[in-house]
Parts: sequence; structure tokens; C-alpha cells
Amino acid sequence: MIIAVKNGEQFVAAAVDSVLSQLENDDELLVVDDGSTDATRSRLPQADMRLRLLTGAGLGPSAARNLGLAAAQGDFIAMLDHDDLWPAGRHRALRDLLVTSPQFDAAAGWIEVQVEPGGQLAHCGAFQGRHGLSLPWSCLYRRRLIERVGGFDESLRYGEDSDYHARLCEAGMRLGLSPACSLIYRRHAGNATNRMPDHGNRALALVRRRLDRHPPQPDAAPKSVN
Amino acid sequence: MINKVRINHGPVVCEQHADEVIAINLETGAYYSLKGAACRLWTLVEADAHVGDIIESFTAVHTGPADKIAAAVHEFLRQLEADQLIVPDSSVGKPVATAVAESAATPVPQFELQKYSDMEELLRLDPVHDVGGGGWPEAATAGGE
Repeated sequence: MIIAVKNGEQFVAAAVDSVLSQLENDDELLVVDDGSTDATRSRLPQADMRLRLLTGAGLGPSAARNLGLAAAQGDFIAMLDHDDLWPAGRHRALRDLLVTSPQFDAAAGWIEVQVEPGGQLAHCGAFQGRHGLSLPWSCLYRRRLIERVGGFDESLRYGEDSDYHARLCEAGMRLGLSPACSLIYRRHAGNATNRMPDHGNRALALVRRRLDRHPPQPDAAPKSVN
Repeated sequence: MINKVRINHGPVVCEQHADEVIAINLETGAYYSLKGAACRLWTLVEADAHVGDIIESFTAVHTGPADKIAAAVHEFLRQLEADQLIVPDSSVGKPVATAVAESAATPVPQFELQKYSDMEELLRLDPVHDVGGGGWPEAATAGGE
């Protein structure tokens, strides 16, 4: 389990608590602090042996997550943004799905969107009640899948989650859907997504990268008109 | 027969790199690659050209029969409209310069519309709800500014 954070004093404690309350003794939570200058570190539990604090190089969320991925030792890997929450029962539901269904590389539950005071629902409202497969934070992955795909693209400022999901799909990810809620997606005034390019431009960037990286087969033979 | 069309902006976003147009229909989640003659036609539509001028632009560089070139243009426009990438337009349009390019390799333009649906889930995530700063649902009932 990986949480990358920078200056997350407002929300990180709740995120960490929501995870630790569901982990077993031999599970681990890696918190990657990517250069916080606020009280983030002091908000973390100081005596829980399951929590390991890593220090990022200040290179952004993708690099910080990659540091966590490299250090992770478990058979299952999950990621969470520092300002989101795991709903109760999340980890058991997704882990049990993977344990009982060896054909799946990953499991995903549905998403609850929670708007905080000062937050904007904006485009994220579409996630409410859905299996938002493009949000890695709603999934639980087998290590073998992550090892096959590698880490996040550290050159992306936005859309690295959708890009990662696209790469997982390109790698042939087989995803099992759980009826459990697997993510409480918090919308607040400080969301980085509040400052993102609009959906259209993000979609174009995603498609461009997909076509440059590994052009898929068209739906059917190109319709040629002459 | 359609005399004027326009890009179905709103549901459709597009960008051009060199000789390729990438277009996405955010309502269906399908994305498209248009190269060569297809790219040139799309560019002319974006330039607000009348269908007649589009046909003339291709006739100027292709050596085949004018009626076959016109038929190819109309058929491709029909395909684009079927995928909701373009819509009929009632505006007058703007004159466009006839393509001053070296002669095309084929007598009749070869239009190809490559369609991909492998990222529907990612691309059509929220098109209906992609609204402005007021958020979704309507600003009066949204979670606040």
C-alpha cells in the first residue's frame, strides 16, 4: 500500500488511518513524503510498525509513487492519494476477490465522491457510484502486473493515472469488479485536478500518448473510400 | 446532398500534428486517426469551406474523373457524419484557396477513417457533465465553489 504526499497535513492522517485500520500485521503502508514543508510528518502515526516513511526527491507524485512501488514487498499493491479514503471493508473485499479468482490481475470497486467545503464536483461527479477503472486508487493489483508494466510516467504533470491505466490495459490486465465501494474520492479546494486542463485536452493528450506508444488495431479494417 | 458541414465541436475535440488529425468523440469514447487525404479534408472543413470548394480542392490535385472525386468526398463526409464527427451547417462558409500542392499519387483521393474504441471508458468519462466553473450538477445544488 502506497501513499505519496507533499504538504498534505490537512488530509493525510485520515487517509493513513483509513488504510491502517484495514491492514493485517504483515501488510505494509509506504508513505512517500515528497518534500513536505508543513506538518505532514507529524500527522503520521509514529509507532505503527506497518508504516514505513520514505523520502521522495521532490520530483512530483509519479516519481514518489514509483519510489513506493520499488520499495513495496507485498503480493498485492494498492495506491491512494493522501486526500482520499479507503471505505470500511475495502481491502478485504478486493483482496478476497483476487484470492478466490486467480484469473484476475487486479480488482476494482466502485467510487464514492465526497465533496468537502470549498470543493468542486466538476468532472469528477461522473465517478459517483461507478467502477472508475481509470483511477488506480480504486484498485488492488497483483505484484506481477505492476512488475510487467513498470511505474508511472514521471514526465506527466496531469493524467498520469489515466495513462497508467491505459498501459495496464495494453499489458493485458484482467480486472475483476467487486460490488464493494473501494474509494472515497474527496473533492476539496486544494485538489490538483481543479487546475487541470479541461477534459477534452486531457483526452487528446491521452490518445496522443497511446498512439505514439503502441498503436492499437483499429476497430475494423480502415474504411477506405476512393 | 449536404452543401456545408462543420466539425461537431463540443462532443468532438481534435488536434492536428503534421499530416495527422486526432479526433475524439467524447460522447461515444471513440477516437479517430485521419491521415493523408482524410486529414486534408478535415482541415478544409475546419477552415469553414463549402463542400463544393472541398471537392474542387481535391480535383485540383487528383487526375481522376471529377464525378468520382466528388463521390469520394461525399462518401467520406457521410462516414464522418455517421460517427457524429461532423454535422450539417447552415452557414455560408468561407472561400478556401485551392490546394497548391504537387499532384497526388492516386487518381482519386483515398480517404481512410481509422476508428478506435479501446479507451471508451477513459475518454467518455464525463462528456455530458463537462460544464464550467459551477461544477456538476447545476451550480445551485453543487457542492459549492
